[in-house]
Amino acid sequence: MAKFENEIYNNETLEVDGNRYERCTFNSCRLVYQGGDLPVFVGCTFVKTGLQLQDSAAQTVKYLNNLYKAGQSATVERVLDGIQYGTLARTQRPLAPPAVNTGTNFAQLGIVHALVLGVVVLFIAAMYYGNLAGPAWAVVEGATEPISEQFPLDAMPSLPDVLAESYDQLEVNQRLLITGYSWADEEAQVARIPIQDAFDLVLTQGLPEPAAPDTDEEAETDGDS
Amino acid sequence: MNKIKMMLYLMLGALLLAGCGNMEEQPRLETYGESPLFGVAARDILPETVPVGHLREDTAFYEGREGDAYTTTLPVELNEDLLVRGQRQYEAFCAPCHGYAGYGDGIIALEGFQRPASFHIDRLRDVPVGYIYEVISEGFGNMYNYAARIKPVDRWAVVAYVRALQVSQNVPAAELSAEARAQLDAQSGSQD
Repeated sequence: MAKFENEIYNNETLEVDGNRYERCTFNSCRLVYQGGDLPVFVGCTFVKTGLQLQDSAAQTVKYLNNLYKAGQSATVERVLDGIQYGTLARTQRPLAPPAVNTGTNFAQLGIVHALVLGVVVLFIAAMYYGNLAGPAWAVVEGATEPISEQFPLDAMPSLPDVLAESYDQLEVNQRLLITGYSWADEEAQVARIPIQDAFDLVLTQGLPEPAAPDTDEEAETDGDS
Repeated sequence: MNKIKMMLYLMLGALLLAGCGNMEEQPRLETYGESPLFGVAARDILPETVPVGHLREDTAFYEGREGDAYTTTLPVELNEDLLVRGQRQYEAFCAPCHGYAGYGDGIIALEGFQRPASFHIDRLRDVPVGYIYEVISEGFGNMYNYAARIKPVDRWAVVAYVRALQVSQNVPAAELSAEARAQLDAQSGSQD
């Protein structure tokens, strides 16, 4: 650990490990550093002076070089940035892990996400199989069977079978009364006629007038609709 | 001149300052908010006024009434188009309960809903057309009103069709033409 002051070096090769240079001038020199104690330069002037790294210092550069080639270029760039901008300390911090696409990597989902998802899936499954009391509106108090057994579909009110069979026939039967001739009341000699004939009848004779115009009250008191 | 300019600037400044308020809070009323002047901010139609196109002076046509009494004559022209139109409307809106022939045996009635009266009873043969129109317009008993679903002219078409239905199911045999009588005998005979 030597200290040099106000020296002028010309065309020399200097091993600078651990030395301190103050207000020195280096002309066309080569400064060799071997990775030992850090040299210190204060107020020096460098003219056409080069740098040479040897031993462990050279190893370090090789290491960075290998890293760079191996795909860690970003890391090396940071080191260089640190050298350039004087924030070398930054490179000593652990780097943030690269972002993981949680959409495709289920294992990377946050624990909270996984828990919530699990609870939801469990709840739906339990509801589906009826082993868990769902929300209050979904169960009958005291019932132990699954919901699907509390309200089986075939317990819904349905048409009488006879009616169901004649469902399509109903309109046909009713239309028969307004498409053909038949007795409405044979004893009273009152007949049914096709609706088209009735059209012709009312078109020629006008609509039948009621026997006596009803008042509001009469009409509504005996209604049974 | 300078004094006038000074005045102008002062006035401008006063205007600018007046603009420095909270614009969210303005002296305006919510649509259905309370209004000290009109009760509700959204004002009702004034009495004795009618929106354009809503004048319904013809009570016989729009309400089936003339004064207190039901109208007894159809307020629209009776022709075949009206009857056919009435049949279409009837079978769309009425037949589900009243049945295609008007006996009150529509599919809904047969399902267990309260059965409506048959049109082929004396009481309903004797009601004036205005009564039928009113029932369509305002409903009756369990029957919902069809004012929103059938427009007035179509309601009258249905009224005319119901009348024709009543005629079709109630013809004295003596009034039948010979041809019709022959068909009646043939068809009723084949049914027995």
